[in-house]
Amino acid sequence: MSANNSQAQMVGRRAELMAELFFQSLDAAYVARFEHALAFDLLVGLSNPQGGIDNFAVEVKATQQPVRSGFRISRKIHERLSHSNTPAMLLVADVKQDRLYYAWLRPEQAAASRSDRDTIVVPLTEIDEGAKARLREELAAQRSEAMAA
Amino acid sequence: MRVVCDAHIPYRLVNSRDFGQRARIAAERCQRLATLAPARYPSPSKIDRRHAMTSELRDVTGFRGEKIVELCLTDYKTFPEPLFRPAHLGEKWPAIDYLVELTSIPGRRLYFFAQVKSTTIAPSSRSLRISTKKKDIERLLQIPGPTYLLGVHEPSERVFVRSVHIGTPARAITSIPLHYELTAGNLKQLHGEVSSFWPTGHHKSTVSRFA
Repeated sequence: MSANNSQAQMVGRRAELMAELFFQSLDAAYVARFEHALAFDLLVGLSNPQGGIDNFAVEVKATQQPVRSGFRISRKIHERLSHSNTPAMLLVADVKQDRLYYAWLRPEQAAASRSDRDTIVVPLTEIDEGAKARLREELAAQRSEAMAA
Repeated sequence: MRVVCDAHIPYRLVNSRDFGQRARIAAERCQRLATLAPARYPSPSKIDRRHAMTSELRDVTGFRGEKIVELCLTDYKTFPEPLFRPAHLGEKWPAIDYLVELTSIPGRRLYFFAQVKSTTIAPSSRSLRISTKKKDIERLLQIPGPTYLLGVHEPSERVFVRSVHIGTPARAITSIPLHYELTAGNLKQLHGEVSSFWPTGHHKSTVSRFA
């Protein structure tokens, strides 16, 4: 195994572990990781107060660089996830500093000023205790929207 | 756990609160049997239910503990790259959970073995309580090479290290001093301790900073 491969594996593994521990700390009913590349990396289910489960897809990205306010992802991935019937989250792991950031992927982000033909810059929120509570509220809002539609 | 969904795409549940479900169902079944035929099936319900919940909690704690250990050993906030590369040996490997290779030593792949013990009990002012058996320590003492116990306080995601080397009494170890926490400084000390052990060619070292 070359040094580069080993470094890339380590970066990916740390991101994977950080993501799993994060969703477990949210008391996820399950976190499913797909063994073959699919549309996204994880499918997460959180129990809701009505006794149901809120499912959402997660695309995990790892970086060793400090994360600024936005993260650039491929337009193809963004289109596939933001136009899906399951809410999709982008989870960015700064594996060097042990920090996590997230954003819900939405079609309107494609028009952002810093986006170009092949990539889209998605604005991120750093995950802390406050962000965890907001995340739950956002899921509840998404559920209400889906039921109203 | 491996399941196959409708589209025949294999996926793995990396976390599920349902793994205690079967135990709970079994406990409920025992309760029903006890109601139907009390003479044959003594009422077990409360004890079994509590046992099922405890096992579930233990599974979650252990599962998270191993992930916390991996993150801790590969932490490199203060280093240019991680000092260690851990490999999980699987549930069935006796006595040890991880083979941990040292990185950044050109031309050599030195390693140590670690057994992970997780707990949700808060540390005291001096130490973290862990639960090992005499047999665990005896097995670690039989293995040539450096062996360590890694204690994890799961709620705070802190990891502590204690060496099992020649001179360690062959009896259960139940605590790890708090100053053996795997901070950046102690990660470096651990790296140094393991790399200086291997050229000696001994079965195990006789001393450790984490004794």
